[in-house]
Amino acid sequence: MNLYDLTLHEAHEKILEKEISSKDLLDSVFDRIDKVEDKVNSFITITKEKAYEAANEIDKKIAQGEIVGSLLGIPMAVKDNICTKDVKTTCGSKMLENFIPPYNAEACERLENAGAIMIGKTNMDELGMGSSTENSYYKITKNPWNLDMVPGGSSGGSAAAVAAGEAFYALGTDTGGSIRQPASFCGIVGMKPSYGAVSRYGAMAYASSLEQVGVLTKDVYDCAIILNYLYGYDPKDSTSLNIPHDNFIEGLKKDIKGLKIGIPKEYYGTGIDDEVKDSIKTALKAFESLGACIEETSLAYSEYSLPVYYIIALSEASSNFSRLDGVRYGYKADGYKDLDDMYIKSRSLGLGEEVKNRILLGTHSLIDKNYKTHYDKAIRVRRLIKEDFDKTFQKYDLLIIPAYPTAAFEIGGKVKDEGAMYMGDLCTVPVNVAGVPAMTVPCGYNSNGLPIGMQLVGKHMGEATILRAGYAYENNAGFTRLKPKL
Amino acid sequence: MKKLSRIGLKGGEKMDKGYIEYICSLAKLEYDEKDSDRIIGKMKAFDKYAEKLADIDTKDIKPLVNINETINVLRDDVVMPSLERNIILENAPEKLYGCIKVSKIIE
Repeated sequence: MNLYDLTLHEAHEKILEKEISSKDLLDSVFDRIDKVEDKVNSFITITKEKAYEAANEIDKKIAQGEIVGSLLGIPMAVKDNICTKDVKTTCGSKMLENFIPPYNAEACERLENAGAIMIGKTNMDELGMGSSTENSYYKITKNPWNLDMVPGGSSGGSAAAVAAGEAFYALGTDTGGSIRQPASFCGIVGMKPSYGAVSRYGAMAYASSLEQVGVLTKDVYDCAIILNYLYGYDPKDSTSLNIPHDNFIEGLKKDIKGLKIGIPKEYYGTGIDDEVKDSIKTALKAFESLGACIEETSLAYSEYSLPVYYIIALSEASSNFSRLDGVRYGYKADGYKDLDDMYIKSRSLGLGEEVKNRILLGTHSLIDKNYKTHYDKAIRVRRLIKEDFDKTFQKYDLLIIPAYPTAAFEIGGKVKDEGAMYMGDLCTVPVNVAGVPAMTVPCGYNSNGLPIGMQLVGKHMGEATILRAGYAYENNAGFTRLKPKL
Repeated sequence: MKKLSRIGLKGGEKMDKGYIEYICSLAKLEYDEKDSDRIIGKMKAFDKYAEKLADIDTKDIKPLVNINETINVLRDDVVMPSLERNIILENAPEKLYGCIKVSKIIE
């Protein structure tokens, strides 16, 4: 058994029993990185030296009898759009190639205070724009299950690192599926928390009203551990909610007898691969055998979620990324004539094609003549979509939908077919539009051996129910989780 | 690259090259005529997408800007520690006399 194959909670047990040290875990993980990173390309920056310094300190404290928390001394990775003090944070963009944040994002701060050891920053689609991690300025991340396939995105580096055993867990961000879809493609667990549940302070905003910081883990139990640390009010984020939550680990122990699960028919129509449907059908039977009640339902506004999502996301992006102007930080072009020319040259040379396209579409949605039919219309329809979810959750505790219509697709494959890639978003974006939490859990493998994931969607601040159901499935459904052969 | 006056810019009714140039100028991105047909295509597809929403009557529906509908989140007016000037300046592309250097803003 290789140490890098352990889950977070298994590694914690071993540290607790003094069977292994934090340094042993780092040795194993960096040895793994040496062997597979060239193939997978999960990381933009690796912080080996810092990690060993931290592990040294932690091992000394443990030897002195300090209480060992669940995260203490265990290596993890952070998506490169989440600020890390004194460690380069590029957001996958040339624009921020040399940006070194002077502070930690709140999510990193909380994990670091609990003794987590960061080993590096993971690759991502530039500024979070993409769903394959092919759209990074630095490199293309490969899927550890099949190196010809994408790992999903935009948190593709985080998902690949966890699936490949290069990190025990990783932070990601999810604006329209960027945690849940790569988790599905890489056969791991990925949670997008409720809007307002986890601080966004220090996470570089793409579409502020849609995105959340979340986590990618090897199993549901690990996800509950991390969420206990991340969840909770932060006065530095004005969208953070001050609502107490139960201990998510305690909640895992309850059974799911009588849990009402809704299956919204709109998510199982044309375009959803048969193998995905079959895997979820088998999972639903398992839920039933564990005592859950399954019923078909409808989210009638789902088809409108996509235009609403795109208009809001791109409008917010065009406004948010106006800060990338080459003045206070980031790339500044040479040879400009005046201030306007400096802005234009810096942005045009510093940002990639996809980002520029999206900024232009966002600007187009916000200008006077389009505002009413685009942005204003979208935020009104957004209320109807949210109410649709609210109403459904009066009847059901949980919804189950596919994480993506297919398993991972080929590198260079669907990018050209924008329609197909955008349609994949139907499975993930309504959750962001409604601000509810959702978690991807692996539930099958297709005929090519690639993982398939399902999403458990809960009501706002209903993470405990999602985790409980996910944990019950993971432990009692008889589904055997495999590991990629790298 | 043609520079548009910053005052009195207007996008025409038609989605043509002039319109793309106008949007580029608002977004502070370089306008390249050879890209304009590609961008027009994207915008037209996007508008078609947006048109779907016209099916829904929203005249009595209030906008939803923030999912939790929090408003005026203020903290107490107390002095809090901030970042050191020299640390902030480390990321600035150009600096002068302990400040971030910017281009001339008055013509």
